[in-house]
Amino acid sequence: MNFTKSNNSSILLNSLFNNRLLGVVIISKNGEIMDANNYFIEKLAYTKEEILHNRLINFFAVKEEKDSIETTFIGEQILLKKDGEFVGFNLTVDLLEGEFETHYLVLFQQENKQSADQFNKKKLELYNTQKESELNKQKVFYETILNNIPSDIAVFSLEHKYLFANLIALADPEKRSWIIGRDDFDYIEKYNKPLAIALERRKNFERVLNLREEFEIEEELTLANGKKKWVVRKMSPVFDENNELIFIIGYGLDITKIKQSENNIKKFMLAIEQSGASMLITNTDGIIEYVNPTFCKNGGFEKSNIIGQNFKSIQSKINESNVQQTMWDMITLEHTWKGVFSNKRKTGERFYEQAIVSPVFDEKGKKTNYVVVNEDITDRILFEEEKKKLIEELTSSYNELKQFTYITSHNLRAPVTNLVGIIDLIDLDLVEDKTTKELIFGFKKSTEKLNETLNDLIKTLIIKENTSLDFIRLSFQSLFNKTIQGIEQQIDKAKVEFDVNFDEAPDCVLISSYMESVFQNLITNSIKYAKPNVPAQIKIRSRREDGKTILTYKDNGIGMNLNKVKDRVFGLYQKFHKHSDSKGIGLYLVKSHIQAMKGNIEISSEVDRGTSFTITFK
Amino acid sequence: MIQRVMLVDDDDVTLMICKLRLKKSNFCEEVITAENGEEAANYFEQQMTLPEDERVIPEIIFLDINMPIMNGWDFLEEFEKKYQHEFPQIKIDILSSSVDPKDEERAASHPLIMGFITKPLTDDNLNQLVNSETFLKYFS
Repeated sequence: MNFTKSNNSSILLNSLFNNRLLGVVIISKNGEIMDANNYFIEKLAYTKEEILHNRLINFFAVKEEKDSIETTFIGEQILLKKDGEFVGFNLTVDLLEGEFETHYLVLFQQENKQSADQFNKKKLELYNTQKESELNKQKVFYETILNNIPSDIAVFSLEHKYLFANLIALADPEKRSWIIGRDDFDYIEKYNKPLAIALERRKNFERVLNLREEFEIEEELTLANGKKKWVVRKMSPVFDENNELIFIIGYGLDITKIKQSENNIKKFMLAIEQSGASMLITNTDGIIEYVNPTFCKNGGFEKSNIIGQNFKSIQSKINESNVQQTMWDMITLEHTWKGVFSNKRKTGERFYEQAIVSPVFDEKGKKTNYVVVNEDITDRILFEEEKKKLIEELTSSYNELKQFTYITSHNLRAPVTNLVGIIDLIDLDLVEDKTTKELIFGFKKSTEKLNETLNDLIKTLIIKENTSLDFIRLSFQSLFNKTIQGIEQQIDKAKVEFDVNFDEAPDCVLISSYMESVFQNLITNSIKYAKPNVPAQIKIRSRREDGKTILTYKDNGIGMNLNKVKDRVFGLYQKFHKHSDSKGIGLYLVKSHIQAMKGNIEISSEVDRGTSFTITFK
Repeated sequence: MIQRVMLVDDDDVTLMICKLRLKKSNFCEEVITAENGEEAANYFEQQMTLPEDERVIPEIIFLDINMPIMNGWDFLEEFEKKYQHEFPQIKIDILSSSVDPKDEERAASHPLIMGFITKPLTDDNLNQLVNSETFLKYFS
């Protein structure tokens, strides 16, 4: 909107605008400059474009807005020129009632120069103090920042004197202010520190000074408490806008923690590198990221050829079995996989590895890698194979031997039974010749012995062979009854007195024929080794203890001195009596039978007091 | 006394001894021998062709197990199939030197077998038979 043309008082306004002694400004009711005359613009040394549409108050030295336009833009006011100088005016304000909007007409009459100069001087002082305090504030601000950075920072002059040191570099505030303008040599002299540090630092400083480039070094320090501390020292040259070196900043960063974990990693690395187990790390796709020397050695690989390859393809090249698929299924399922790889070396030689493949998870539970640890177990496997072969050979010769024993015993048995039959039929009374009679008697005795021995051997063979006999829950009483029925004649003849009670443990899971044989052998032994003219007394009891069944057997026979016979008492062909019937197989059979029934037998005996047995079944 | 015993055994010494034993123990009047299962089966086969009153049939058979051509078990199978219904009165005892406990078990569970005698055949064995229910009648 152009007031000069649309307003009714256009003539008056035009004359005011052209006035060379008065500043004229039209503002909106918001204080926005709508128009200004040349006098005003020139006085403030702006261009018209710079002024228009700014708020008028922005050009005031004291920007104090009051309740209304009329009260704000009135009286003596100081305005700010573009060059920072002040200019004083006397202001009047009038309302301009327009056709559409309300505007204000502000008139500026210049004040005398003196008051503006005075004002200028006063304001300048104020301005300078403000600026100074702002600078101070800034200085404190930056110092606070520098002091709070967790690394030591120092600024040096080109003469290597300290211009600044932060709190980390020197914690003591006294020392910190003392050092300014001094150098490391002063510090060392005053605080009695080793000279080497200062010399080293000076050397590095000069290097930066001469080469005008950054320099970095790692320092290893031993603290008063004996602990190690590692610091990275960095010196950086600082240039001004003319590329002149103005000072040098030194930083020191405590890297003790990094260094410690680095050392730990180094330790682990050395352990992995020198481990006898071959190790390999892949990413989640199976791409090999690391292999240790043992892996390369075992497989005959070059490390450089293997990094970046897929573990699966490497493995399938050397692996003979099809375990990898299983393994890979397992580990994609996020489980540890264990197994044996049968591999071929580059030389074609076979080798075996016990492998453990484990997924590795980060702290967020995300799978990051696979670790493969292989142990060369070739020796063990070869040994196992050899052992297996040996066992096969042994089994085969054992079977041959068994067959041979069977055939021998059977083939022997047939003629021996004939001999026994013949002896049975010979009537000695009919033989008249005395010598012949004696010979036949000897023949008879030998034949009987041969027959018994053969029978015992056969029984032994049967026990050793028949592991498939059935275990059934059997009543001790009925087994006992069946046994004594078979040897009734012997028992009657010897007038054996039995005291038998199986009430506490009436039955047990046993093999019928074996247990009968045990009873029979024990009873016939008791009869054989009874005291002369004293009938055998046999006491048998059963009981349960800790889930086991215990059978005790006791006789009143001649007994024996176990100290002399000890371990041999249950041995084959061990005789402990000069008894005519003794063949030394009875107790061996008893023990074999009991062991075949997963039981155990113990003996105790005393000469002239009798013998007792304790049989334990699980 | 029993009229007739059949001995089936491939060992002629055994046959000789058994014959003597049977005679000495006055167990039977007559002994028929066969050297293996087949020979014994043939004997019965032949008896089948004769009229009933002309047949010569044993009351008891002592049967060995291990024999060539047709062993004791084979013979039992054959006998059960072909002759048992014809001669149901015949009793069979195993007389063997077998050391295999399985043979004894098998014999115990076989319906035709009355007993299992381990060689040699003794007077005691025969006495037991004499006193058994089956044969007591022959000796009273």
